[in-house]
Amino acid sequence: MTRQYLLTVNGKTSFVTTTPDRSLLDTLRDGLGLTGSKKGCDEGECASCTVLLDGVPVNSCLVLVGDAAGKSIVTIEGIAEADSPHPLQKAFVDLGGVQCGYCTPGMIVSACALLREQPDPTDEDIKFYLAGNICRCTGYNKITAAVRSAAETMRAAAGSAPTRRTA
Amino acid sequence: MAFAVLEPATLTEALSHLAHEGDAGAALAGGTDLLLRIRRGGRKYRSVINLKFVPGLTGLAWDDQRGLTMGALTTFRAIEHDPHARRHYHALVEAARVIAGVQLRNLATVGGNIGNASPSADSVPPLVALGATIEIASTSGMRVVPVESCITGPGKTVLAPGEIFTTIHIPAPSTRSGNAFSRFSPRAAMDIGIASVAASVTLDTDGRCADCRIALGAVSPIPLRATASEAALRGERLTPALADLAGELAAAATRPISDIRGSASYRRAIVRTLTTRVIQQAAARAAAAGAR
Ligand SMILES: Cc1cc2nc3c(=O)[nH]c(=O)nc-3n(C[C@H](O)[C@H](O)[C@H](O)COP(=O)(O)OP(=O)(O)OC[C@H]3O[C@@H](n4cnc5c(N)ncnc54)[C@H](O)[C@@H]3O)c2cc1C
Ligand code: FES
Ligand code: FES
Repeated sequence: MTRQYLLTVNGKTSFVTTTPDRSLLDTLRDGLGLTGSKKGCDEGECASCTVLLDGVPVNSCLVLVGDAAGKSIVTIEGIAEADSPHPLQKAFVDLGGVQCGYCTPGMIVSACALLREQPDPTDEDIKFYLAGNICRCTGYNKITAAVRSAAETMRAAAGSAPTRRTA
Repeated sequence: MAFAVLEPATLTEALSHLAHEGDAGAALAGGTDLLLRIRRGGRKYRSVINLKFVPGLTGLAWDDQRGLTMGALTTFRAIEHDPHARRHYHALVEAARVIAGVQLRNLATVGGNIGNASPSADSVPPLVALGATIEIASTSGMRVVPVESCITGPGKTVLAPGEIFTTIHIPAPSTRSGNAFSRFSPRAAMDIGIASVAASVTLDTDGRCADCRIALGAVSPIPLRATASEAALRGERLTPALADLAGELAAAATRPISDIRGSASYRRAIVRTLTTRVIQQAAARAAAAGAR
């Protein structure tokens, strides 16, 4: 038995017809063609499927489509500003925080939520916040460095003097 | 894994769905256990009853006299951020912070953690050590059960078909009391505990242990109080030797299993060390609270 759900993804609202036992992740990927969110495990273990639900990062593989209806959903496709990459995207590329790239959408969406909560995180803050995001390539140091660097760029752009902190 | 999703808008409606569906239905909170159980083919349900749209089942409220009241659907991330929980119930916040990662903690609820009844459920030892109770509702009324007697076996609770958890209540801490939690797992994050310990200690004006509650996790099928350790501490000054003895008594009380994560004797050794450390930390916090 299918139902219609009104989903607002990256600011755009559309109707999706699917069954209520579908996950938000499958609905995004198969229903809306937004394949940026990855399905690494479908079990909550890897966070490659992270999206922001009303600004809060969640594993979209464990969210039923009905629980996302009527909320603001932000995926990796909605992170960049206009046609220029988000500072996090640029820092991940510049500093080698991307290798195969499978974990990257989840890393960047999650880091985006972190920097909204804590614009000036320590390395420990970054590691704690991204502990659920599994990467099998980079060894994490470059990811931490990329998030720290993007945080600096974003604080500088926001007008505050860049401060350097160590963990 | 086809199933229907019922979305009751009131508690009355939720309870009548649960009563009607019986064994063919399951209450859904964060879904981080239930959806996996269904997806892995472990259980088939005709319907899940999504409790997220029922008002009054989330959020934390603090009262100086009554303590902390929280809805069963309160997420671990909300607990982690709550200023009163952070001030009075370190054990619970310390447990919340080790559960999975931030994304999962934004979904996973405390009621679901109890409902899933895993021996390694991380919120259970703190709730037991803090003397928490849980309110259970059904179409035929309401009852209150201590969290300690809520879990009756791995995956089993006192809930009868048609019943749900609605509210968890933790009494206000007495003066000169402190509490702490510690979990040991091989990996610091995204791992299940090999063993965990929570303790709550109240000191008298002399600095002796007036009262204490110690709860052990992942080392028995049901929540386990280290009653022999508690008895050894009561009325005594917490010397390092006594803390060590309490650890030994706690380890002796456990009924751990041997599995891929660790042998029974390894778990016992871990419990011994964790207990010694956790009661000392709880006592140090109690002394600091007394000095305030
Ligand atoms: C990757 C991953 C890592 C995890 N790590 C940890 C960890 O470190 N520590 C830990 O303790 N757990 C861990 N878990 C397990 C799980 O996240 C927790 O047990 C969580 O608290 C379950 O809550 P939920 O709201 O998602 O429950 P759900 O999945 O919605 O429900 C779980 C069970 O409880 C019942 N239930 C839920 N709410 C109620 C209610 N109000 N009344 C009656 N019954 C109810 C359901 O019917 C179901 O049987 C992990 C899970 C995953 C997927
Ligand atoms: S796909 Fe969702 S956590 Fe791995
Ligand atoms: S870059 Fe390959 S998994 Fe992270």
